[in-house]
Amino acid sequence: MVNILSTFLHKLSLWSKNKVLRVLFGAFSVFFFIFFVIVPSIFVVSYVPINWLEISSKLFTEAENFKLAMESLQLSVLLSILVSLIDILFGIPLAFFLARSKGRAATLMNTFIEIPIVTPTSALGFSVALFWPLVFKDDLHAYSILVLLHVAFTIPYMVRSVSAALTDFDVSYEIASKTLGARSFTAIRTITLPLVKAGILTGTILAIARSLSETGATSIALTLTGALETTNTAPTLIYLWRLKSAEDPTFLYAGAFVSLLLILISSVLFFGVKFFVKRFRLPFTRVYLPLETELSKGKWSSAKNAVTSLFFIVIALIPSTFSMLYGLEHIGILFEKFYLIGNSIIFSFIIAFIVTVVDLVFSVPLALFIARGSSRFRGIIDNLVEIPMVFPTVAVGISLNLFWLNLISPSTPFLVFNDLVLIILAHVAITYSFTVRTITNAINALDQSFEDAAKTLGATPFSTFTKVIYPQIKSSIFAGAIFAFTRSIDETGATLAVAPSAITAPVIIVDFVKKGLLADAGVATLTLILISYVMLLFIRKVGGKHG
Amino acid sequence: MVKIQLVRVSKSFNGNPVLNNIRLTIEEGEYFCLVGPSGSGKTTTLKIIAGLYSPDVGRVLFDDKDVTDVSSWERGAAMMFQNPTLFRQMNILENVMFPLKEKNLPKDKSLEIAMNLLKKIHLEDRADAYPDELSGGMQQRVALARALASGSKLLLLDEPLGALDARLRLELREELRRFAKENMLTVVHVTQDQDEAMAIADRIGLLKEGRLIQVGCPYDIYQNPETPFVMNFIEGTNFLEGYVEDRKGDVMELMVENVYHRIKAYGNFKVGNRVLLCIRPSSIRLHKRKGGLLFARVTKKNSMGSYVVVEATLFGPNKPILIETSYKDSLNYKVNDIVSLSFDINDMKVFHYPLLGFTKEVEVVI
Repeated sequence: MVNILSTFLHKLSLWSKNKVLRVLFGAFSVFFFIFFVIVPSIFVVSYVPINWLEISSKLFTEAENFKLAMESLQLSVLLSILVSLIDILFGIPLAFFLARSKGRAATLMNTFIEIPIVTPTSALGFSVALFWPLVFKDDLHAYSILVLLHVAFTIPYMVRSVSAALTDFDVSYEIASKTLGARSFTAIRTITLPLVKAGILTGTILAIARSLSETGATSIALTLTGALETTNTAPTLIYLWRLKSAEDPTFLYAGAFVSLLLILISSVLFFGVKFFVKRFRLPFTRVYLPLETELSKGKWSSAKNAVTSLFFIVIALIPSTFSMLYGLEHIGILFEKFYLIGNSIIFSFIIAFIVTVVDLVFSVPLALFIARGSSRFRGIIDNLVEIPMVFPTVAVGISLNLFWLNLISPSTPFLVFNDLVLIILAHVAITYSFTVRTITNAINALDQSFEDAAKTLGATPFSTFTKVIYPQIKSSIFAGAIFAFTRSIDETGATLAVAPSAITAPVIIVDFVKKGLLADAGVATLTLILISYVMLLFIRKVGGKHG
Repeated sequence: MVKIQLVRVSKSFNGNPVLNNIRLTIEEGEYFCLVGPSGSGKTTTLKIIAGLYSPDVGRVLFDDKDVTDVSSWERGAAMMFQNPTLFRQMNILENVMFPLKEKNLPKDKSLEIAMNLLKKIHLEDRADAYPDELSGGMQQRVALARALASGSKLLLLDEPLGALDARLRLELREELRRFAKENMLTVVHVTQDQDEAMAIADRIGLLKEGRLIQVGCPYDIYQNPETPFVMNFIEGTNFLEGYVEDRKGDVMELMVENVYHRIKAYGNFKVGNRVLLCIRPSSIRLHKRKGGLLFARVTKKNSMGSYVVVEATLFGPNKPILIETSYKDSLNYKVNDIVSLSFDINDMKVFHYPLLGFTKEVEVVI
């Protein structure tokens, strides 16, 4: 067995010497990316003009549909902008606290930040939507709940992006400016902030993208507040119309139209933010001496840390863990519905596992193609990889559904497109870009002289990869895998759009809430959260050993 | 042993020319140093020889065979970098065995070769150590052993001593040369340190802005630099601008920097030609008051340990001149003393005034 493997590896090593095979290998990974990720995801763009007659008759003859669509898009955009501003306001100071302070409080907060990230978003949505009405009795408008919910699941990304940039950042710049007489507040404002702008940009884009595309948690929150029929964000409206399309297929056209607009809007927002941040300069050079001297005093810094930490705990941490108490109260239900809940969780894990494997198998070659290839298309592919990252997942789901079921399936009767296959295709389309980006960045950061040395010592491209590149990017591949896995477990929007009748773990929570079975939803949430935590602890343990 | 030929090699990156029509032959078993300021194309030349870059135009020949299209892993040209590039997840022995494994050699055979090499670099006791546990100098020795293990008869060195401290550099550069000669290797060694090149090279090639300016043995390059740039790069030089006033046979009379004195120098430029007179600091002698040709005032004294660099400013043009003297001699001169300078006619070099201007010719951006 070992023998067969080693001969096989040797064969691979020999094949990798062949230039034609190397080109084919690169072309194959590009082909996968184009035909399984990019084209299906943007298929809706061509679908809408082609079917414009049906779409316009659905939207414009039934005027209330058009009004619903516009209102939902407006709400989505305003919500994502408001939420990202709140994230910036509270997330950046918190990131500074986490990255710079070595105290016990900061370590504790560092662990807390992870909790909303590893909590599946539907579980978080159920939790948040259950918590706030209890606090405010019934005076809470649906909009307020949406803002609270979206801040809860986006702020950890802002904090993480900025604190990562801060950790990479060479502190000596800040120290230098302090020794040159700058107050510490001034030093941070004028020296550090401009240099971690990239981190803030990433955080903002992630926050906007997440907020624009969130479906499951939002629809749970809207259902719980009883506003689902009157208030909708764009993703929940697409989901609603996708459900209606089971009886009235014309709703699929309307859904495709909203999906297209949502994709366009998020692309505009994405490039707008990128452009704006590049051009925009805070008044970095001026110094407001009396105010900044005052703000640099220790008490203000401690106050800032306390306020932002408290904000995070109240807005994100407590609501996201609240449902565990609720679930524990009704734990008996778990045994009644063990089959149902257990099945959905197993189904989700099978999907997530396959999605992770597919992602890894195809993203490593593409990352190599982008980072180390000599093709002149690598720059184009590099830019294309960014695009699916900002597509709202529910829109990608609709697009994939139209592409695979309406376009490909009728002409290829030998291919089976059941729920499992469709969901895997959808989740791969959503997560693939992120794993490629993670691995590409890791390869780009490598010192290429190691590879050059290996090559001049007689190592073939294959053994240069396995013996030189792979050991150095292992942890990034691992990070990409964790990301793909958790995103797949987490995903509601695309799953619902591509296969409305499939029951994955997050979908079952949405389902229970819709049917008014809050206790059941609570138990399912608790189970899903616990399993996710245990899984992640386990993965960290295993991953920790491998570095 | 390998003979290397670069035939009219040019290379540009994103439209910026880096190498321009390089023609160079490196003989079998030769220790060849490639020097030049940063950005002059030294590393690019080396990587083209290694097969890591392919030239836009031109061919690369090993032993008269065209290897331009042969991949780097099949060329047998082992390369070493400033960074020792030892693979962190492998110990020292595994690192040295790396190229042997790639050749699919039997395990006991490759173990024997690797251990022998480790003995040669006196690190056989550290075979189990990981790269991070060794000092920079030891790591670079292991990298050398690893390159030798590949069995390639051509060694390409990209500033391998650049990251080491001064004492270790001296020690290791001797060792590199000794290893190369013992194993009959052809070596191409890229360095920014001209002293290093002078000390160890059989021949030196000097690159500037992607062009090969001069190739020759160290003595030749030192004695007969072809351009002011070469002269200044090998050892910092004093430049005096002027023109030819008169010429009798081989001896010209120069008028420089509006100094009253005429200076005699060898050369056969036309009368009236604009020239650059170059004199090395080590070729100038200091005199008290009279005795020399040019008068100056001492403006600075810098002790360099074994010798002293005196800066004296010429009367008239107000131009600073650097002079190297022995410590003992330097005691005779204090700052603000008036001195005169003399030099031997054989130590002077006269060049045509550079077409593109003085700064463009001699500036060295490091």
